Amino acid sequence: MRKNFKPGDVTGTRLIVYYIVLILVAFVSLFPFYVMFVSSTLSTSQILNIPPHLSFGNQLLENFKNLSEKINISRVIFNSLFIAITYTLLTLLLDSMAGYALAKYEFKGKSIIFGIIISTLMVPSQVTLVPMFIMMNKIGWQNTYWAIIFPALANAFGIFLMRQNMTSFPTALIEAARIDGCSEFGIFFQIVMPNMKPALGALGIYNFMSQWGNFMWPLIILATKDMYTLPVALASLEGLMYKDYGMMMLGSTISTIPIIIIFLIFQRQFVSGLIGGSIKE
Amino acid sequence: MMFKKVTILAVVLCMVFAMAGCGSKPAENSTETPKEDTSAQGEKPKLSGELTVWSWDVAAKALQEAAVNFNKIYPDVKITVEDLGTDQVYDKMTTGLVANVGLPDVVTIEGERVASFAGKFPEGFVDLTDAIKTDDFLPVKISECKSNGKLVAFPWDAGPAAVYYRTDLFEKAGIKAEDIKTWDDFIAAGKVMNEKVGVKMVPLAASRNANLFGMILNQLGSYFFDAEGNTTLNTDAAIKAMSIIQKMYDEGITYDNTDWDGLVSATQSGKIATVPSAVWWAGTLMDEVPDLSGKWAVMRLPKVGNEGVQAAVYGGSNVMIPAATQNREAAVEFVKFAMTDMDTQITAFTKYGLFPSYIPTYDDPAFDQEVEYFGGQKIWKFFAEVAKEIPELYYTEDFPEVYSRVIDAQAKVTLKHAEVKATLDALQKDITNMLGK
Repeated sequence: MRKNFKPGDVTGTRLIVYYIVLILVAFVSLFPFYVMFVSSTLSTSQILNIPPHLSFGNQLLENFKNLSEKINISRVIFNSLFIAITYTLLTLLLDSMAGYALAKYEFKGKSIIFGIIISTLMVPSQVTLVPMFIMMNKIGWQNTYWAIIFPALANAFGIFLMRQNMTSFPTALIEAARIDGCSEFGIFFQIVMPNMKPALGALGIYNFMSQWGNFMWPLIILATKDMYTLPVALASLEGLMYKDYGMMMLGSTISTIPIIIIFLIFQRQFVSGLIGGSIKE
Repeated sequence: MMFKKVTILAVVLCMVFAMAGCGSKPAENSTETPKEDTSAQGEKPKLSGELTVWSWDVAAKALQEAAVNFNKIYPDVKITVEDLGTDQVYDKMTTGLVANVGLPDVVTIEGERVASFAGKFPEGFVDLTDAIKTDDFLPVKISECKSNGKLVAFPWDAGPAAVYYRTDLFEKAGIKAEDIKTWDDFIAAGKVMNEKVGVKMVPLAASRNANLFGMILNQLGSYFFDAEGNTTLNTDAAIKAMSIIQKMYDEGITYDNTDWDGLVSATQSGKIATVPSAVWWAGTLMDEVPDLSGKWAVMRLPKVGNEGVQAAVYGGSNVMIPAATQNREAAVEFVKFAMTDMDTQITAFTKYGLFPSYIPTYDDPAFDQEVEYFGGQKIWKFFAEVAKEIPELYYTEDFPEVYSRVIDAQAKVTLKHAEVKATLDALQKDITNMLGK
């Protein structure tokens, strides 16, 4: 594998071809976002017009006014952020702890436990929907943040990803710390975790996005408007006979921006973390 | 390093505590039961407690206003209306009914869905038979709300259908609306429209929806099912209705609008000369196509040869009460009030375009208005007349499945020019095999 690959390594016509292909791909993937941004500044009749408007309009404030009338946008954003952030932090902690135990400790039934955890990946979430709904109602957690955060906390994918990454962490380093008298928690938090940043970044983004876009479960379990998350609130914008696309597009834009920001900040970790652990050194 | 660890823990703990504080209590958890005032017989019963209503869009807004009016008589009933969106209401209802918890006290359900919910969950809804004076409502809505001989829903807005047409394009083509008496006349006029103006007569998304087929079938007093729930898709009526659809397509007078948005945009850009649709389409026109004000009018649906009536239903919704409600009396009283209070119904109609199915409302002056958008035509009065003539029709719990197969059959007879009778025979056989009736 060629290391330290730089754009400068490719020159001449090949470079031009590379760039043309990249620009085309970038265009295909970014154009829908562009249309969404543009549409959020247009009125619905402008959006439905043929040929479509592709430049920004002046309906942004109007759309925002309509949106604020339909949903309490700041409360909804708070709900979504709060749930996604809390969930992400807690899962990072729990997943890496479980992953660490499975990777670096020897105990009876370890592989069986790991097998059981992995097998839960095969249970479709629809199957657990009704039992979970009944359970949450019995506990009295209906319409709370807990009901969304708690059931998904120990997720198999996160544990698996962290275990794979932890496995490649040199055991000698852990043993050295142990000999020097560091406590087990000390080793975990001070020796192992700082080296897991790429994996944590990747898992963090992944968990954040999945919770941010989570629709079905929050829809079922949340009962009142002030508890809605963004996807649920956005879905309620769609009218039966009349669809205000400008308003809906603005809502979608608002819900997309945090993801874009977070991805831009963590994208390096995201990519390196997903392939990290696949190569053992 | 130690400091970092402590901070992380502190942040996490803060989040946990904040969360416990933020979770608001669900409305359904209220343990209050209606305190009956048995002493005051004949007078209004004292009602209290909380009601949660699930609805969507304008229906939610109208119910919100109904709640305000209701509170003037029963101030102790606290009503919360949640505007969820149509599909979301159905998803939440299905989960709630399976689990039998977390249901609202009142919910709006579209006409064709009433039977499917009540059929799948026969014990899931309050029997409203005694609460509804059937003579006061459109017969078609009453038949829609029936399941196993019981009225499981309160009829609300109706969708009487007619043909919306562009007066300017008709004039340009030299077509007179009053000359169109049958669907054959309509198709002939469509050909003239094609030749003289170059505009398609009617939108038809042959492989996407079968609304027009349903309307024509309804005109003939028939539908997908009979009153006993037997499938009736290869009857004479069905064959006639489907033949009309096929002829329209073959004569090239249809415009493939694909979906709702396609219909709106085709209307805006003047690609179609008529839209056979329900009363609520008037609202869509006024909201989304203001430029064409004064250029539209409505006429009765053409007859099928010399049979049937010139009225049909398309769309509309009803109100149901889940049997799990903790506050049945208040829920029934509220629904009864919202559906039969004149002011509430008239407001829902004038402000939100929900055309009532409560017949006494049709005498209100609001129906006598000349509508400027339609060149001064009294379209509300017109639709009220249409509404009373709509033949009854019956849905079953299998409607969504059957409907999608009807669309497939329609696509076959149009796009692939299949023979109508053979296609419908096959469809009938297919469905009776599947459902057993």
